[in-house]
Amino acid sequence: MRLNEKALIRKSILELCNTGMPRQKSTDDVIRTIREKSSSEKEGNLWEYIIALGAQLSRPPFDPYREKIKLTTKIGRKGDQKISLKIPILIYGKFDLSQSSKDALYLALDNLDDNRSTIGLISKDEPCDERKYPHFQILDDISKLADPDGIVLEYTGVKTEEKIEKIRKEFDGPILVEVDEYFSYYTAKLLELGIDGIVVNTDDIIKSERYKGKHAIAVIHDAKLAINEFYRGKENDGACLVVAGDVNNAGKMVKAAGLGADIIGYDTSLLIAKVGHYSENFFDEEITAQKIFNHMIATKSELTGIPAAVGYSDFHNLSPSDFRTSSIKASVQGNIPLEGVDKTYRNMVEEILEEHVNTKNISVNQQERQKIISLIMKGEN
Amino acid sequence: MPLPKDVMNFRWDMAKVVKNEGHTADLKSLLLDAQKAADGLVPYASLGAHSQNDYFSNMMINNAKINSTQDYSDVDASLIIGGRYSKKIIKTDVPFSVGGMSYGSVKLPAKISLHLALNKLAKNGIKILMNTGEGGALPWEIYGTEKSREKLSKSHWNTILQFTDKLLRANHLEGLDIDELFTREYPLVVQYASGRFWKDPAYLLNADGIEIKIGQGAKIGHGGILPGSKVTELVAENRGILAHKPAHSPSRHLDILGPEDLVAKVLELRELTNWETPIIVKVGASRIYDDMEIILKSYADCATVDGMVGGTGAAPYEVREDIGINTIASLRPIRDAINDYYETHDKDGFKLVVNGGIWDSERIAKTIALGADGVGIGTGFLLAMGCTLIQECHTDICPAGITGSHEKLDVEKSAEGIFNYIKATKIELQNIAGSLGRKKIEDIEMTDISVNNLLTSIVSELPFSDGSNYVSKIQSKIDDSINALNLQGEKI
Amino acid sequence: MCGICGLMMDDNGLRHSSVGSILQDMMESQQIRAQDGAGIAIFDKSNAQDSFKIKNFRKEETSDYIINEVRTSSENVSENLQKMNQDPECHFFSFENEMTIIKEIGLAKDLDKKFGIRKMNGSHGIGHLRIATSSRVTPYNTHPFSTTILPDIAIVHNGEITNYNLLKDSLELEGFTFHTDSDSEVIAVFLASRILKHGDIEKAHREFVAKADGPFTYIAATSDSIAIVRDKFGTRKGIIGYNPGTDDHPPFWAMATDLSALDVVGATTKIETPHPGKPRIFYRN
Repeated sequence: MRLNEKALIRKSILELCNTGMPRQKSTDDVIRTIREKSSSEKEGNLWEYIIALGAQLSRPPFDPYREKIKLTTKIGRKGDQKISLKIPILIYGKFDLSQSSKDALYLALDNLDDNRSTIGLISKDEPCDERKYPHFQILDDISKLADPDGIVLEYTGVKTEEKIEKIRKEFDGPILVEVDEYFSYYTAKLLELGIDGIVVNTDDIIKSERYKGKHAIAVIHDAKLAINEFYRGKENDGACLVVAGDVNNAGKMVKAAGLGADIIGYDTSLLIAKVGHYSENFFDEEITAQKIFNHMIATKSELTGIPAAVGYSDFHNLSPSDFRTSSIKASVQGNIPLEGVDKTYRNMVEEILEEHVNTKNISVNQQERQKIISLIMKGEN
Repeated sequence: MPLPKDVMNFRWDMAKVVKNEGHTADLKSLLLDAQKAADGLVPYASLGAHSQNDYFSNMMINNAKINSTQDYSDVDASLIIGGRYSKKIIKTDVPFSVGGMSYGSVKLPAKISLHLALNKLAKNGIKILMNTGEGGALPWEIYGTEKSREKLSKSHWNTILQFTDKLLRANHLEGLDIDELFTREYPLVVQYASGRFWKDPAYLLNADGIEIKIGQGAKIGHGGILPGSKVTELVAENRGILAHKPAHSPSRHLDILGPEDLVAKVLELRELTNWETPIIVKVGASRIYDDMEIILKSYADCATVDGMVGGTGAAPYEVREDIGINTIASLRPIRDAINDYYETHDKDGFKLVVNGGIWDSERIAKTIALGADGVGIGTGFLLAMGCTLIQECHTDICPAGITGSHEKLDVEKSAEGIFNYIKATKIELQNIAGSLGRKKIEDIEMTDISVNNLLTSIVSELPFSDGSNYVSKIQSKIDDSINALNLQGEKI
Repeated sequence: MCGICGLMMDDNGLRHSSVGSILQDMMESQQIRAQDGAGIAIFDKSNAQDSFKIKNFRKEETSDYIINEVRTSSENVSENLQKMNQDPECHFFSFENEMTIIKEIGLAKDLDKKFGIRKMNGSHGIGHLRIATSSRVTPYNTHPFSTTILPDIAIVHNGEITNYNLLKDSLELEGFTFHTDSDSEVIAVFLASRILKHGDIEKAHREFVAKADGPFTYIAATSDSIAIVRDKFGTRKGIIGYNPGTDDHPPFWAMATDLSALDVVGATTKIETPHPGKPRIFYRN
């Protein structure tokens, strides 16, 4: 039940308990009327309409207490230069932190590495010398290259391609490019130039004209498609998709992974972990580091629990076929099967179209059929 | 797991941060983040998931009234479970039952309220089925019939009475009459779950039905847990485990890894109970077509399917929210699985019970129309006992005294409420069926229901009130698109 | 979830008259486990020719399936496969040279009655009994599975490859074709794709175990090897035994889901449980 309907249902049951007699009004009718009137009927957060299929009989679940669930992720396409993360997370800081917050973050990242829970950092700042964790430096000018483990470049057009060629000659570690909303056009080219993956910030991209009105899941789906198209006819050597933006809890991370994300760029929640201090009214670097550490350890447990419950011993085996949705929009944008029918909305429309044109003897060729389907899909957004 | 001390205080600070820094994260997820930051543990939650679309309110029963001036009390509301392979059957006077809620996750006064209410109902001609949940059964549930006490030795009976006395004293219920307590007039199904939380073989042998619990809707694929703080000495003694340590139920039965293992387990239980006791297999709703196929072939008498909003005493928050499909959506593949099976087999009394988000007569009727034979109600009974839905059952802070011991549950008042709830729901069900012209509740069918949106029509296969369905609606969209695109669409 | 079995003769002769009958005994002993389908693959070097055989099931109007065979030279293989793929009622099931795959819906005994399994000769073979879970009961979804990528590869499988969709999508993207919706087929396609790449069958098995997820034990046969492979947690059973030979037949290695299958054919020495995640491979002498 939705939160606001709880009170209604409770009241209705208590009425039955008090009177022992039939009620006057149907509660489902009342709920329906409220939903029709309220604006929350418009699906906002599509993440909430996506669920995973748990394992029971037709496949057995794994037991994370006894069976080790793998979260390890490698970044990099060339054998010896790969960076290994124990949890598929890169801290992706777009907001400016104070120096003491940064120090707390670096301490937490070191502690995580000590505890076999290595995650990485993407940052504009220079990497710390004694660090234990991998640091991806956000670089706009190759002269500023410090000594990072990896590089993140922002895509700014053809100039980026030149930069990549230059950097690739001087730097052996993984190179990721943060793309804009036109990534479908140039991802293949960038991968050919030798980059090791792309970063999509779904919060930024859904503000663009191209993805207006769409949800993060459409961006992730399209980004994965762009990478897959590069690999058509080739053996997959591990270019990765980093998804940042609206993916800040374990549930969304798992769903993003199902849609194709290899690594999560994790930002806002870190702020929240830090926020734990506001009530204490003073800043303590060690306590903040501890909170960040705790938060990541808890997230790691959640990230092992869900794949195990879906029947996988490796987080990266989650795929779209393991998810279902109770939203036509989500089915269209993420190509996710609808629950109960186990087909995507697109597949359903294709089948009905096939039958309809045959029964009614309507002559439409393949291209026209695709146009009809695209128009209907557009209408559901 | 009690909330960290400073979490309650900085709820307000977080709201300030969110407002000032313009982040869009919602309060609930901020709270979970703060909890994880405080203790580094997976945050737990209880009761059911918040499903955005449960479809029930998008379905209307055509021209049926829950309230009627006519007397429909002779509408047959009974349900029989068993008989497909079992020699005995369970017959109840209503097609809904009490869902499994274990002693441990729910405190003793709540269990007693249900026990007293169900006995009173049986005396008033309404036998309704009770499920023990996975935490074992209470002494009066196992030994509540004369037949079950026949072969008891005096010393065994004394032990039982001593334990009963301890239970009642600890909950200030010494006033209850022992003879009345040790009367069970209603049928009882015991759960055979992966934790195997019982010590007495009579748990299985004295039961009217055995439900092999493979999974439940709230935490499909994930094991169960009773937090250590709720494993009191009495709960531990009842289950045969250590007190104050969390009680884990593994995510799978250690001896059931696949379909052939389930067949072996069902046959083992049949041998144990001399082929008399009905055997039920319970699963959560996920890959439900495949799971139903396996259950149909496993020699079980009945399947219970629990949708994603089904409740739990404790589960990791993300597991509860993100795994499992909605109850109504699961019924479509279930119908397909059952139809496909019976294309090559004769009808043989297999029954389907469905749980998850069902709590009143209309929802029961809708679920039955879509193919269920019976329905299980869990959260509804908690609400009847005064639950306020704060969903903190995994801690000790239940304001209604159902899952926590800080407040005291008024057993008599709760029992009375449950009695009325069930009685009224039966009358409403009979009114619905009667006003549709049906003689039996089970005769309510899909043509009696219509829906008001496309998605509900797709997942349920039900029509709109104008007679169209999702196929014709999509065909209209196709025709509209053909026109909009100016495609000639010449007829050949 | 099923019964699987396999055997490899352990002497230098390549053609033994008892291969079919030993395999049939092992199958029939496990029948109680699964009754939806039965199938075998037997390798006989004397069958080897310059051309290959492509076999498929064709659905007739009566809804029965009949078996079609096409002989093709290596140059014409893709052309013949394309022709076959264009017919929606045609379902590929075997690409053979030394190997013969025979499979049907129903019991093992009936398979023998119809096709004379007991009379088949060879050096090694595998067998399977099926209880249908996630795929429909049709003859082309019975095991063993073969692949159009390379001839003489057969696999039988007990359990489930849970990340089969990911593996299948990735292999299809690379350019390899699938013909059924069964997860078991992915084992055959994967192994074939790796043999094409580096030729090392043992390495191919190790790569598969590292990539595949879920509970499984499979037995895979090529023209000169047989391997039994369990998933990395050892969730499904598998057992190997050795029969030191009698007057009627030479010594052989046998492997199966259940010990009872080894018992029935006297393969009761050198009993070994394959280590989870480590392929146990036997080569033809």
